[in-house]
Amino acid sequence: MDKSLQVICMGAMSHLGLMFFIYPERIITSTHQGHWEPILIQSLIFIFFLWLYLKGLSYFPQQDIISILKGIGKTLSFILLFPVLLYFIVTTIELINAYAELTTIIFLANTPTWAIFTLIILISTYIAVKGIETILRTSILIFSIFFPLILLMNVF
Amino acid sequence: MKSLLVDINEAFKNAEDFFKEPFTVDSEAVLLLGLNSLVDLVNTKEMLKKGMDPTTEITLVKRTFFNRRLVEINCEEAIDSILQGKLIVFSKEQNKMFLFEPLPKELNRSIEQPTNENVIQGPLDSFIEDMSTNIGLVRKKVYSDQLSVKTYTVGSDQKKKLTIVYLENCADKDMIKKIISHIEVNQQKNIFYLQHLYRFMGIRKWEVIPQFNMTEMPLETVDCLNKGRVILFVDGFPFALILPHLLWDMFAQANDRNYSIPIMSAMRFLRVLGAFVTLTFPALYVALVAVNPEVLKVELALSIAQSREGIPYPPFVEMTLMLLIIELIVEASIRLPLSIGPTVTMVGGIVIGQAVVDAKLVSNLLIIVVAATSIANSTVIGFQNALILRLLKYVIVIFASIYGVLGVLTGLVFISAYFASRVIFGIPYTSFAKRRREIG
Repeated sequence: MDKSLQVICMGAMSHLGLMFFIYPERIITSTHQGHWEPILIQSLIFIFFLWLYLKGLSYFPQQDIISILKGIGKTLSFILLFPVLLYFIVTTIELINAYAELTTIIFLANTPTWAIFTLIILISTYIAVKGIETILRTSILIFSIFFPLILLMNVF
Repeated sequence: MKSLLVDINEAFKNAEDFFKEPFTVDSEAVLLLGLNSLVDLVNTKEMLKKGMDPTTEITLVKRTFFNRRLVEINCEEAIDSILQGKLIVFSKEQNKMFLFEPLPKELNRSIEQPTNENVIQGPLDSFIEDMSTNIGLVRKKVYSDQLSVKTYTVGSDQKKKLTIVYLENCADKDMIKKIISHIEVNQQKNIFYLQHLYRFMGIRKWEVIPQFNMTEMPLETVDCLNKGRVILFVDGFPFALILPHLLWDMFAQANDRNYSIPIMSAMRFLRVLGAFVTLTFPALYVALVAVNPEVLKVELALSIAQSREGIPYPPFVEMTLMLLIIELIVEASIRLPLSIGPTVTMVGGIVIGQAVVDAKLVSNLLIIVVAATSIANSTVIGFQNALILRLLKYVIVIFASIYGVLGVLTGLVFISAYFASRVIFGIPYTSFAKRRREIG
């Protein structure tokens, strides 16, 4: 089955999420005027790294980054991949925490943060337990539900 | 060798409708055995007499009659065939039993308009309880030698026939193999209701979404066949079970394609909207009134607060109460005879109309929300699909009562994830049946 559409949806959603969540704040604090410059530079850097990553992957057809790195020995691959693991763990904790705090500020002033933690963790665990296919398909469904809404909100 | 008849007599000793009719076939005394509730005896005798026309050579007829048109069977088979509505010719001289296909009593209704689904400007025939008629209806619409029909007899003590129908060149081979293996493994289990069939096909007990979509209309069935899906007929059920069941079935009907494309898209968009309104409206009401009134504009929030003035309990209770009444009205109007049905509608209309607002039990806005929800719920195709949404909306209402707008959001995500996690015979529930021979 062709999964490219699902991967695109997933990528677009995770980037949109990050963009609306933390990006504006960082950009606004970065400079007083000409905000387009850091945005442009960051996008160029992002596109360059994405190109680099995809170019590298294209040398190893039908393999992902972990199976490629397995070929160069355990220690080296551990050294290379451990930061990535650390990064994922830290971002997960950080994002859930930030999201819950933001929700308490905006929506749910009286709800304790642990309740929101529980909700987010339970839902994401449910989706994760069902496997990668479910994650991708869910992403398409959510994308088609919420993307028109986001567009509408930005237009009006 | 009298035991042949004795065994049968013993088996049917409690059946008043069992007959043993003396008859002569080619001047040979025989007994006709059968159930007069299933066999049209008078006309069958006529037919037998015609088969023995005295103008033809007697011996010839006799040979044809006993050797070709009748099949010799033993006692157990005889009992089985009598139960199926066949006629047994018992010859005393030869002490043998022969199976004869009699004229059956007309126990089926004729082909009528669909009663559970409505179709506008489309073919009006629908399936009936008799399986072979249903297969005939499909065959008449699919002129192809690729149509494959396989019948299985399942059940341990009460046998039932099960037929799978698919187009050889369109259907997914893996799926058919899986379905057939399920049928063969469970061949000894009884099927009385569709719930047994779900179990039969290996579904877990607590799954909201079944593997089958049901339809009464041959047009839909043929459309599904052409898209490579498999149809299942169970004897005695007046609908086709379409395998696998896809989410898109809720919104798309084959008959839509009889309209122009813009109109078709608009109708489908309406149905999608209907599903959304069903899922989110009650939850949004609870969320916005109870948890997050500050999300609304001030004027709107004030007017909502005004309409809720003097109402003693929280929005969640209010909402559950009204939804419950709506569900009760729906359930009652199914149960009641057609002549008393309008009474329920009228009384229900008064209750959820002005009276309950005047009594300050619920707010005006809630009546609008509940009415919109129950109308929107009926826009999706198929009663079984509407039921899925009807149940799932409570999940979001509960989420919303705890977490407000965030709850509505997570509820939608949760339901999307649930839909996405369902895989039916290797085909995801959320996939589209795009073109011919392509699902997924």
